Amino acid sequence: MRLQKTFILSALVLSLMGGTVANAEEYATTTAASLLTDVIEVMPEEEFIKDIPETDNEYAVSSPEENEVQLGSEDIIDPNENTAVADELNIPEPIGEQGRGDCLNLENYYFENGYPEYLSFVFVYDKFLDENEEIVLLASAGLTEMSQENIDAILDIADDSCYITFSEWKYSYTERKAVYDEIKAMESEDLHVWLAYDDRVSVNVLDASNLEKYRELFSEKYGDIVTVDCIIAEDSIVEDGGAVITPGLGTITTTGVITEPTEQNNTHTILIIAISAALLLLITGGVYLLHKSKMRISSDGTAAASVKLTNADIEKTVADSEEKPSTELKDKIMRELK
Amino acid sequence: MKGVIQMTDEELRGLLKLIRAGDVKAFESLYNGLSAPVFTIALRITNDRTLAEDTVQEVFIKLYKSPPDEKIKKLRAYIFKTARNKALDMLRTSPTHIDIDECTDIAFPQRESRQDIAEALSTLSESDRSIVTLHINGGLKFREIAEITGKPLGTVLWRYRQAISQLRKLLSE
Repeated sequence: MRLQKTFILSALVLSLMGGTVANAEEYATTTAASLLTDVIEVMPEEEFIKDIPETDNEYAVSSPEENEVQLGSEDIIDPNENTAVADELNIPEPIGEQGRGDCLNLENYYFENGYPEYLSFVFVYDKFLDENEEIVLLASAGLTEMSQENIDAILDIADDSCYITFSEWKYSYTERKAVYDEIKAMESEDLHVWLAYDDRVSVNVLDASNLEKYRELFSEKYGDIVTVDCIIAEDSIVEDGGAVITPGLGTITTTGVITEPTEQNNTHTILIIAISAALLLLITGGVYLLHKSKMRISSDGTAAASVKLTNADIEKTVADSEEKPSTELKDKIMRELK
Repeated sequence: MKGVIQMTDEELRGLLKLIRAGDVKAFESLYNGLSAPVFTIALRITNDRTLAEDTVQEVFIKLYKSPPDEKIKKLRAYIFKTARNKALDMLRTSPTHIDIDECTDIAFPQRESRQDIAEALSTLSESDRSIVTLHINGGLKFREIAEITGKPLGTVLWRYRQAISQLRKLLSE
């Protein structure tokens, strides 16, 4: 076991060293999608989605007083009360307003149910485990109308482990989506269009020589809802044919193909080789150790294969382990009812 | 999946209506349908068959003598929440009680015929054991379990996944 851990640790350190340098910029721009994937990996997406209520009041107890089983005050966690502990553990405090509902994936919720007119965007930008090892999600929501009613509507949907900061923006998601669809319908190979986490429609022009043309075109047609850019850095070289060569990024041709950088990025190549070598080492060693541990020797010297179980196996085992009370208990209860 | 309640909330509602009118046969049907999962949940919490049976007795007698109000929609979740709280009360007032969540190396009393899964479950915290049992044996949704345990939904999902992983590791060895 120690050998296994040492081996895995060594391989991870190797790959991290290469990965950290090669991917510094990519790490800094971790997207909300990957954060949501990390959270949603807790359970399969399809199972999570089907747990979303069809009505607002699926689990309603109309009168809390009539349900004697209630939460005590000790069960309610006030995030402000644990500041000292959080500080000691270097755990960031939740920022924003706390959700009151049960939906973790707000972006998915609105995608499936439609965006209201006052909503521009919503996404989870960070998450952490608090001192109680409970997940805290931090989300951002852009509203075109900053009213308490609109804020409350979102908070009522969002899970109470989600803290949301609200800000005011100009364009709604509906407006942006309409423009996005029109530009997509142009089917231009020179354009890459997407809806970023702001209130605009982002367009990237692959041919730098067409940049001004598209800026004028979209400005005239759509106003300032569209932002147009070209993948050009300060040290990029634009060739006569329109291809853009950016150090560290490679070459973007007029057909939109990004070719691998050559002499400008030997460092990048070396790092990729280092990561690949580390991964290969990890996989090879892992296979060897797995094979070695597959046959375990018991105390009497006989070998027995270890069992590889899936989560479904475990759930079935737990389900099958249901126990029944004694038959005497039923008789006892029935006697007491008389 | 065995152990999942076959009774829907609507069926429970129908039985409870009859029980309010004093129908003992309806109560028997309710008992036959729910006693096993309620007992399992209580047993996972208390780890003591006697305490678990006492919990079942109290829960069902209460269901007969003071059925839940008609306005309560999620009856299964209500019943299991009652059972869980009763089991926790039983455990706390038991003279042999030790706070499970605070002890990391507690030795549980051994039964003569303990199965691997029960042993594996006993290594989980009470909270995780409740979540696993309520979901698998009780057939409750994670959202309902979050209500019952008073924890955020994300935490319930996370803890469930962690618990299943731990059980898988233990049972694979």
